[in-house]
Amino acid sequence: MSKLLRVPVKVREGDNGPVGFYWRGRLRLVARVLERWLDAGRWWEGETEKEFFRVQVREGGVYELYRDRAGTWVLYRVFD
Amino acid sequence: MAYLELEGFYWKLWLAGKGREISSAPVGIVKAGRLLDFSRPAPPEWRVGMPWSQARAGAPGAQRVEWAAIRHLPMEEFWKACSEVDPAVESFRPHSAFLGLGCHRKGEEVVARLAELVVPRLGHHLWAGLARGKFAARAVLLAYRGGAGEDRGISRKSSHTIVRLPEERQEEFLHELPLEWVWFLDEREKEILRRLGIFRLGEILAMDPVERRFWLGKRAEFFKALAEGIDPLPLRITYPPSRWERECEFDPPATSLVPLRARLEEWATSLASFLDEEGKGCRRLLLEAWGGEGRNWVAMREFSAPRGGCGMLRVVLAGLLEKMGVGAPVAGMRLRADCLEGRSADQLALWGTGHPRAGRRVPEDPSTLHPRLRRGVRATRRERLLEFWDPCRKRRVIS
Amino acid sequence: MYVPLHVHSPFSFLDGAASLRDLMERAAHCNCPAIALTDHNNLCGAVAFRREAERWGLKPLLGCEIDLEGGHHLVLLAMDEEGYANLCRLLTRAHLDSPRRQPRLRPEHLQGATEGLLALSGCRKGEIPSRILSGDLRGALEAARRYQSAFPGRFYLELEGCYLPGTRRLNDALWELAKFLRLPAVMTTNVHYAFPSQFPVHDILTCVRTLSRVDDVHPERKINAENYLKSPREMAELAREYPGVLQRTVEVAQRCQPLPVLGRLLTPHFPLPEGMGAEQMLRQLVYAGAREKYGRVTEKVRRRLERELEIICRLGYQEYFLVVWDLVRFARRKGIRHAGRGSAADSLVAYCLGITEVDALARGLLFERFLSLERAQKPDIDVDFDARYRDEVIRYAREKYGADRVAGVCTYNTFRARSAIRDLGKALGFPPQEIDRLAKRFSYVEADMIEEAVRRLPELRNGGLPLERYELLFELCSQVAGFPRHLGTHLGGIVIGPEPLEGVVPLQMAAKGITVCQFDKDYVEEVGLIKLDLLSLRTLSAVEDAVVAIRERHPQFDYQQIPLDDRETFRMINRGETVGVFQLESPAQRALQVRLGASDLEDIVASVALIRPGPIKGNMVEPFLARRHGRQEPRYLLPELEPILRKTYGVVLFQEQVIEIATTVAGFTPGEADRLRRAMTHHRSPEEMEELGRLFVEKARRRGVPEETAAAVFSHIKGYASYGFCEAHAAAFATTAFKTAYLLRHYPAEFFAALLSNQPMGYYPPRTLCVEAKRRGVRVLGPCVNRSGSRCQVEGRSVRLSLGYVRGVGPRTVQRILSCRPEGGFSSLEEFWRLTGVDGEAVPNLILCGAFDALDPHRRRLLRRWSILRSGGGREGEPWWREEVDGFRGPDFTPWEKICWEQEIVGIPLTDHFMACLRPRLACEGAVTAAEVQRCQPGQRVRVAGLPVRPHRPPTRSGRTVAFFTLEDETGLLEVTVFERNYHRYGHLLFGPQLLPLMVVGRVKKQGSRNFLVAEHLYALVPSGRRKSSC
Repeated sequence: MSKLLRVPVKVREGDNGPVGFYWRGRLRLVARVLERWLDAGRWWEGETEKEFFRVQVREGGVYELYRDRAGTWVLYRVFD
Repeated sequence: MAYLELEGFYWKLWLAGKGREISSAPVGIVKAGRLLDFSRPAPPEWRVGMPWSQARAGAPGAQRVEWAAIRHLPMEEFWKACSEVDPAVESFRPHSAFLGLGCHRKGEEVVARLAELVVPRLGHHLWAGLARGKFAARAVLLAYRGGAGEDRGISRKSSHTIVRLPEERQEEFLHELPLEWVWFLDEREKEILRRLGIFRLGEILAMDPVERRFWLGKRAEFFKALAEGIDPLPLRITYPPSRWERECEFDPPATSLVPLRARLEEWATSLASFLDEEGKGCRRLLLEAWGGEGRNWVAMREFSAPRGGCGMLRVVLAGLLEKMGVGAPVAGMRLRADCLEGRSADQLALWGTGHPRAGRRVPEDPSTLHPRLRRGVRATRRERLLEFWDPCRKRRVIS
Repeated sequence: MYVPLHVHSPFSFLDGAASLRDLMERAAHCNCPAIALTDHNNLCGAVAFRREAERWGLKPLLGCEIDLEGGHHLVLLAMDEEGYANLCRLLTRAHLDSPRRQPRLRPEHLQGATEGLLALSGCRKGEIPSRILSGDLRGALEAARRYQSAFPGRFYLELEGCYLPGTRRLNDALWELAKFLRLPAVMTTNVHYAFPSQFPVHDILTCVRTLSRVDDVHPERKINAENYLKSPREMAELAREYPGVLQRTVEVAQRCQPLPVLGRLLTPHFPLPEGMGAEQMLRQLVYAGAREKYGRVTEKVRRRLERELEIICRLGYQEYFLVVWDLVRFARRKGIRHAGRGSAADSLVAYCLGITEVDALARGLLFERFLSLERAQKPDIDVDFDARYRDEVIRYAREKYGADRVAGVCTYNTFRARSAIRDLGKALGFPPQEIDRLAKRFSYVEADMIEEAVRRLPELRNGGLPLERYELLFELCSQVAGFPRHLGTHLGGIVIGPEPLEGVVPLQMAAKGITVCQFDKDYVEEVGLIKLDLLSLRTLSAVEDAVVAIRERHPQFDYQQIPLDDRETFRMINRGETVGVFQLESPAQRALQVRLGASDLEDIVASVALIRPGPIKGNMVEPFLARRHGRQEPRYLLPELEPILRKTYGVVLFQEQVIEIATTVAGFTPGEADRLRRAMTHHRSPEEMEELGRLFVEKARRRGVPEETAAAVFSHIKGYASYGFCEAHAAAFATTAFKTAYLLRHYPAEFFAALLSNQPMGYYPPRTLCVEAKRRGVRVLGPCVNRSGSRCQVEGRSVRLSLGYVRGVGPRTVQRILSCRPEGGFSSLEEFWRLTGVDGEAVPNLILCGAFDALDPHRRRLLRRWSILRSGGGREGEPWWREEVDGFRGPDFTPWEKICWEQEIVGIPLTDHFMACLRPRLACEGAVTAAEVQRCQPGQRVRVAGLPVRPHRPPTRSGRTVAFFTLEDETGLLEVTVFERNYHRYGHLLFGPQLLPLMVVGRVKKQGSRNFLVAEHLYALVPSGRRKSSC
């Protein structure tokens, strides 16, 4: 099951992306960055580029987060 | 179906405008040199449509009122009254209308009720033609008032007269109907048919189909149906109106665009507030201006979706004025906004701040929701695009 | 350091979003030593790519991305000449063996055809990556093995550096595969544009290509802007985990040589008779021709011919000339009229071979302009043929030389304002009617000039368009300006090669079923092929028809013997009465003739060259006229200029003069002079001209010419930059122009009949030609079922229109009528119908336009008769029909109605002119006729009404906008000028979507012997519904 969330989260950044993020009260540490891609979005409406990360956390779950130009981190999707 | 005409409408209108100034001399409302309406009591030989010169000959002291003098007055009262007795009203002239009579069994009752409303307030006699369809309803009334009908089926009261065309007589009536009462034909077509030796509607049926098509063009089938007694005309509900019109004159004629622009600004504001009240937008704007010596300028703008909004209308009207390319002194100008239709919610969100429905977003079209919906993920555009690229989401190979 | 190996230019047709120049500049900026070009299924950009890359100091690697059967992609790079030839062959196979526009390469094509080619596994659409991503690792392995064996030692796996979801997985898998199979791996970013900021353009072009809207989702849409030319640092970051991939790209570049090979010569082979060499045969033919033209070969002629022949043979073009001679001979044998044009007219050899009609020796034309030993310029011979038979000539060429050695030449249809707005607007989601209306306003504008056009042109400013909405659209349009949209066919250009063409240039199938090269006319020459232009010119068809008609009455008439000094013809030209004459028809030309007062052919040559944007903008017209009439003395800035410009009174008129000036004054080498000539003939090289200007001044200075003088001389040349004629071309055209003027003057009926038979052609529509004919006393009679033929023909002193002019009457119907027509003509409608059986809307149309007037002038009655006939009327039991028919007493159509029908059906009002019917009303309003204007005094204020014909806005020397149009009424034509201020007020009336009859109020001005009108007010004559004015 996966869910689209789109909630802003606080993220601890490392050199190659997020190292950990807070969600549902807990800090989840990133074990591996599985994928990383850029998404241009609806540029004709003025949307800016977003950098996506698909990460696997230590507990095993897979999450997708993105960071937009302004530096805000958003938890995009949860794969349970 | 009923066709109604209110006699004396224009006169009452003019009276209302003038106040209580009634002279004893008969008054005739004249349009294009002919009598459109007249006061009551009136000289007995006066008829609608009579040339003014002839009318005046019979009544030397008669007063003449030009159509131009009353043209600007609001003329919707009759239709308003009609809409109170029947929801399906198609306006025809300011003094005439069609009523659908859909849910009534007795047309006579409806007409009587209407007559109570309008006589003597808006006019002094109500004429009604009742028949199966629009065409026949009007034709039977015209024929009767033109002296071509008989006395059967007539119901005469003090305030109204009803001419009913019974079902069984309809076909015969139409067949025998002289062409002058076939009010859909224009002069040219009447002329052609007369030259072909056709004087009655029924004879059109007897024409060779090829020939009929040749002379009447696309309308041939239509007339054939009419002649057979099938009225293919639907009732178009036009009242309350889907058109907004304003007209003005400039005396002396305007030699610069400044007064025109000022007038257009007023009209833009007025039209915008009208549209807002109705929650409608207009899809077509027609601007006409005329000057001396038969000069005429026209500009039109059509929109693909209904539009409104004061700012936008101002810009568009200014553009129309430029587009018209007025090149000589302007004596008058008219603006018409028609094809009024309701605006959908998200258009309202685009402009105008005060509208109560502004700011509401239209939800995403549910038909685009992906089967993934079953799994609880909303198929946004991003997701749909990612499906083509992300191997974890992929449903099909890129090919 | 790395080399981009997978790059798409705009020649990937709607998939490349950065110009070649941008790409090269960016690559140079990133210190790449080389760069590859790999467009989709074509090599269209190869030549331009090579030139541009070398300009920026990059080594060009040529390749392409081919579609394979099964839908996968494969990237190929050519290593050497053999590789290039194989690449061309593969592409040709892919195109010709598959349906048009869907090229596919099959596995059997690859067998034995991969020598000299390198392959990369491709982007995600390559077979191996797509199998990996869909999880089919075994399939990926097998595919890799297959490619490895097809390209032994020359197959590379391509890792992607685009930050896409799945990149990590894909690259890891490819890396493993490379290690397993011991294949080398490279990394690319599948470059489609140079900078990330160009992504929106690419995305929009993708929408256009996939016919979707920007909101839609389509698998071809890229999700990010990472397909740009990345800097070495960015590439290093991407390649961090895959050591050596960037170094391998450099190695690949080192294995390949720059391609395509340019500067070769591939002349066609002419089948020579036994034992004779090409030069020998050419010589024989040339001298035979010279004897025919001159009677006796004088020393002067011989010397010239020898010089030309020497140059031709040294350069190796003997067989080319033989080929052209052969084609022209074929045309002559078949009676197909032809005329050589262009710089070939500089050659006396061409004249003697019968290719051109211009005696280069007599006119003192330089052969070096056409061919010279110093310049690397290929000969370019253009021949116009009668439009009806040109295809026959091409077919002959194919048969004679082999269909695999003859191909057409393509053109690249590029984005201009209208097409850009249409395509991009649709993609952006604007509603189609809105886009249509917007696009129609930008008829002649380039895509990057849209914003400026909106500011300048009144019909756009006042058009009622809400321009704010279109900001994004206009921005994107300006960025795609000049990008190729799709491949088109060049009309008439063909190449004939010595060997099958598919090894030299890739071929594909064009719309009309002919093969075309993927190179356009310039590129095709750069790779060594020689192009031949076989054009169709309707004027020649008209001349042919006229000559045939004239010969019926004057059997000894010979078009070739028309005296080129006929006084009466010159008188007619000087009066500006040249409507219908080739090249001298336009209002600008007629106005010039009136002032010029031409008295010999040289003047006509000058006129043809004068009325072009070049001389007009370069401020040449006035000085020329003044000096020609002796009112001004020619001043020469430098003494060297005098011999060059003396012939044209000190005014730069011809391209040859520019070349000569550059050579004499600044000492330009032939190569540089050629560059100058090319810059002048291509519209879009203002930067090039700037650079050449600097070079000119510099070199002139070094020869001792003062700087300001050199700059002044160059400024004369620069103003010429858009489009000047070459003298030979002008001379060739002038000859035809004069001859057609002669025909017009002496045989007007035959000439007009010919013109009307060959429409559309010329400047004016047939309607206007009829007005002019009438003015000359030649009436144009409407089609008649008893008199008309299949073409317009002369009847006494009038011209009878052909039946083909009637709408709904096609060639077959015409044939039927003509073949069924009895000796004395049809006697009744019934007989016509009975004999021909013509049906449908043809007969009512014939009746309504008066074709049956000879049988019964009452058209309405005939219509009745026809409808009765068709319904099988006259049946028993309906006697009253017959009475009605025969005794039909009603009136016929009014003249106005007749004219309207005629205009609608034939396109020409026959009974009378529109304006003639309105004349009473117009006279009430004080309007005069066009003919009366000629009798007015200059300065007088008049009103004239008429139909506007051909409004246009030529560039003027002052840079301000002036509009011209012709006003046509029943008495003739009147030229009207509208200056800037009034143009801004009324321009929309002239250039809007619909043309209406106009009333023009203005002042009369005199020019030469004719009056014209300067407009002050313009009104459309809209039929007024409200007020019917009655006088």
